[in-house]
Amino acid sequence: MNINISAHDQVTLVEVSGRIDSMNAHQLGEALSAEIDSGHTQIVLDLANVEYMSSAGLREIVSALKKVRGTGDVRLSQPSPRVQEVLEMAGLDTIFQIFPNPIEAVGSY
Amino acid sequence: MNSGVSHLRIAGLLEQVALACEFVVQEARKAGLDDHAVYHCELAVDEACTNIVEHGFRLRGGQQSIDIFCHSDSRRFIITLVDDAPPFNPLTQAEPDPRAPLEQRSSGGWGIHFIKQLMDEATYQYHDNRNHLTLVKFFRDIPN
Repeated sequence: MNINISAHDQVTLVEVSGRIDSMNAHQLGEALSAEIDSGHTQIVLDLANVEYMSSAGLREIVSALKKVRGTGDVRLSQPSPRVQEVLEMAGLDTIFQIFPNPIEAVGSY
Repeated sequence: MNSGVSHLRIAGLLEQVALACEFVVQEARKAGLDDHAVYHCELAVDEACTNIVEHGFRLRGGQQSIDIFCHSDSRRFIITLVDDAPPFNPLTQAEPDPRAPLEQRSSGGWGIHFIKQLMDEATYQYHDNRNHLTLVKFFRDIPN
């Protein structure tokens, strides 16, 4: 898994690629927490290049969403059909705002 | 297609779970499941093995192992995970509610729910001092 973080005005774009599973999900959680702890609470998580995400990955993004609740948001962009299926199984497709591309997601703030 | 039983043993460590996934993907493809069904088997085995390592083996320092058996018959691809953690039936544990609002959710706990959703059948037995979790995926096109 690779994580690339960039700032777009007040929005933080977190682009993840590869496989998110129980071995590495904590790295995503730590990256999101570091941003939130430094005051960057308007986050877009771009999942276009995530080919696989287990429940360990979901745990981290739900934790991040709970952490920013009230001060910001975590919005998702272009999940693959497989990641979308995982989000739907956990009912998270109705809890996260999901956008078709990162430009729209960043612009939504 | 009937097949012999294939077997892999992994150490009870999170870093070994990916090996179990690779093995199941290879065996599921060999059995003739389609790509989507293969992915379902991979994710279900990932969740099940992670659960065993994180909860079943938590206090035992990674000295245990998980045996993964795969075989198929004309209708189904069958995966059995066998471990010697204390007796634990994951299929009877309370599951999180996918309709719950964010404030009523804990962050995790979705593994068992996923296993039940992804596989056509899941059964648990405890015998010979070991947990046996059997996961079944039916072939979509059953040969005549």
